Amino acid sequence: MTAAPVWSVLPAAALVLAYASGAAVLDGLLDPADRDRGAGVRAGRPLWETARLLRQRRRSTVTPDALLWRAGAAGPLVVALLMAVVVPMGGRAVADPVVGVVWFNALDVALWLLVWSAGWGANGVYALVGGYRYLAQALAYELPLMFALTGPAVAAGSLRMSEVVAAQHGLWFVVWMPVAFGVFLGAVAGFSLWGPFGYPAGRDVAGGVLAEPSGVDRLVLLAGRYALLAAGAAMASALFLGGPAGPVLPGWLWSALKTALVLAALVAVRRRMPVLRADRVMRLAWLVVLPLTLAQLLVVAVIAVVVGG
Amino acid sequence: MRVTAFVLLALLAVAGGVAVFVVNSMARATIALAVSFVAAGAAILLVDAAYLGVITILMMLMEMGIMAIFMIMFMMNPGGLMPMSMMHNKRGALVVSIVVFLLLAGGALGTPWPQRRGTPPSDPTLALGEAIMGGKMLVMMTVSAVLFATIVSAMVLATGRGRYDGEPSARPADDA
Amino acid sequence: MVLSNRLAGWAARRPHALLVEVPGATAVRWVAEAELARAGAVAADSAADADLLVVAGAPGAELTAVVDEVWAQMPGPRARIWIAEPGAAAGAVAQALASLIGPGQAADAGRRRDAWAAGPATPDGGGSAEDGDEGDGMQMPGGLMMADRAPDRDGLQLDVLSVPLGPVLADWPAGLVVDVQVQGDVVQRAQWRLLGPAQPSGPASDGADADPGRGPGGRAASRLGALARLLGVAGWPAAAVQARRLRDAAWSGAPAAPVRTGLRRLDRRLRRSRALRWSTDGLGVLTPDEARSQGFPRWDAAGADTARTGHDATARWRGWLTEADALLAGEGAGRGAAEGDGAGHDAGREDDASVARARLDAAVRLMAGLDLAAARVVMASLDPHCGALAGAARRPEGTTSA
Repeated sequence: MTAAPVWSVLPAAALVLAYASGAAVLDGLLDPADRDRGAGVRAGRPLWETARLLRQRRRSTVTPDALLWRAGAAGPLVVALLMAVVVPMGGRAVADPVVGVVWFNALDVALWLLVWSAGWGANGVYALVGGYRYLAQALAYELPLMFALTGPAVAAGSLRMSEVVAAQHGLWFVVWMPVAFGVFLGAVAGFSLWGPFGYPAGRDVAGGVLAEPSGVDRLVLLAGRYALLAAGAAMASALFLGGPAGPVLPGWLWSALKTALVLAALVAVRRRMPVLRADRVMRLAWLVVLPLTLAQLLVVAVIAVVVGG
Repeated sequence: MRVTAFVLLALLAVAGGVAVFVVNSMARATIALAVSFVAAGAAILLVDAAYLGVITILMMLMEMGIMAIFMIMFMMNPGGLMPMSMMHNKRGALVVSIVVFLLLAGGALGTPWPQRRGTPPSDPTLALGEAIMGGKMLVMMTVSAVLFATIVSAMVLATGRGRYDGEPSARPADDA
Repeated sequence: MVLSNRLAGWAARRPHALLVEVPGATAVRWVAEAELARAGAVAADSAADADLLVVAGAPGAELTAVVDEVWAQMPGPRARIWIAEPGAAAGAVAQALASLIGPGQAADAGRRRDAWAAGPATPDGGGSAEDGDEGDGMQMPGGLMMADRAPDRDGLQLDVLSVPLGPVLADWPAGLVVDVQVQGDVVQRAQWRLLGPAQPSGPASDGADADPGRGPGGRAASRLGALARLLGVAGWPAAAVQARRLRDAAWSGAPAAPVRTGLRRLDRRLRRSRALRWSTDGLGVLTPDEARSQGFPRWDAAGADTARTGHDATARWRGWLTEADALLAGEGAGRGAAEGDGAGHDAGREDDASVARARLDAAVRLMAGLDLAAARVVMASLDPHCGALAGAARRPEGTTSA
């Protein structure tokens, strides 16, 4: 893999936004509420919503912490773009630092404070509860996520994304790390406030962190949510699905296809199940998922030691 | 280039630290501290210790998040509602921080740092791990897993119920 | 100009509507919801998310004040409609959608004096998602109140905030306000009150048209409507849409067979969902006597395993599914339940009111000690029929519980 020149930041960002828009289109197509309307109307949802939010006035609240609020609203999009920097697509990434995996992890932790700020800054009860819910939920998925990320790194003997991808020639990590793969996807949904982990933006608290922002702020926050899903899906395809590996088709196409597939699965799961509340998720995460992830890591470590000699 | 970046990051780190005591909201103080730590972590990146730098940023952001939970979680005044001073024992804190700063800065400047011998390794993370752990790597890894499992199970055993496990039946009727 | 027209046209394809239901105007809400869905509108979660404010029914003074406050919190472009009669819904919605992209919006924006705008904030400004001025907190900058401090159940001194939940809240009973005291997001204490309609609608003015809970189709629809709300609160919009469609079909008097087919599909989907059961199991448990007196069907109608778990939220949504199917099949509600018991709020007016009151009292009692999400599931699973309470025109206020 070669590290790309600096200008490749722009196409990478465009790619993230393209995938994010694709996810929004798919979400519109899958929404049963619009079942009776034409496919064009349903697929155009991101366009209608964007137009609506661009027209909408930028609202505030009484005595907000405007700095933290706006910064928090912009946070998810910025973090998603920064995550995408280390994600290889078709054997190329904007940057390939020695600690690519940890970079991704550090950014997802940065979301803790950013999303929490988005909830706190608005100075509304529902938004505040939404922000705290994000932290509570993060406590549930973060440790399993860290151990899930450790799996591929241990197997590859490196934290560099290119080496993690290269180590999967022959056998994709998903085959012998299914638990880590599942945990990773769950964590992506978690840090994207999506589907079963949409608890911090729940309808029961009037949208939680989404309760107060309007106009451009809301647009950026919602776009950031889809962009996080996209960056997470691309990371999953590189970490567990062999990246560009695949027969016949060129590598970049394989990367693109795998990312699209993971992203579609993440989008679709939202229609399949209700939100999981933190009071239930906590127990599951700490008593079931965490031990399972540790066991997975043990298996991976033993295999890596035995095979690696 | 590196020197400029270092100066900027150092200034940002110090400014963040000062901001902790200047801003009048707990939330902003938390975020200012996080910014300070991120700048410090980024400064570590400048000496090619990528792992240490990123992990510092990761751990510190996480700690600030946890701190936000513990410090503010049960305070229900959101946003910039209530301006409050972040300073307790102003004079003492000032003296302590200045003395510590001078000690650390003096140490950093006064230490006879060794010259680089040889070339940097291709994977500094690996080299760092081996330098710290040496032959005890396996032991340390096993111990850390065991320690972690112990912490989690001790927590689970010690807390009869979590925050959300209400006991409505056992609650005293404490209405006025 | 061309661009902004284009934007307006695109935006108009998917307006977000916030619905305010006045107690006793369930039928108006259903018609308005169906009409909005036909126009491509989606339900907004909060005032910040809304372009349209739709008031279903004729609100009393207090509720009107809340509507005005929510209106002031909407970012704009915005439109507000009052729908008093089901028949007026279609026209009103069309008109409101037109005005959203009309030239009046610029004038509206120019006239606005928002509580959040620069300058001294008004003393009654609502910075919290809903109006935030109840309770006896200390007055603070911006006219908002501060949290008090109180011991929590672990004996710590923690901030406690008094927040009114409702009356404008997605999937929430009409006109209901639950004043909760929360520590973190855990409800410590709750108390309910009702913001009523303009005139308490007596049986004379409140015929079969305005109250959908009459006739087997309407009664089935009312079960399905409750189910749709519960699913909305549980965060499963896709299933909620399914339930709402069935509700509209059952109410419109469509042939029962296809509705029952759809219902069977939903039934299978919900009963099979482990996640849904996990989220509703063990919440809001009633004793058999309480459940009977609150008009819920007896055990056998709701499934065998209720004996083990008690009459919890799961038992109730399962009961709704069973009842709705029985009603559509023409078997009458609450198979095996005594007449009037299983029928819930279908019995006489006075009974309706007492059942609704009992459910509200149970809800605020059971909400204490739960986090907001679970508390809302409890309320949704009890589905108090606030219209009956307003109609009975008793003292519309609740009791404390801790």
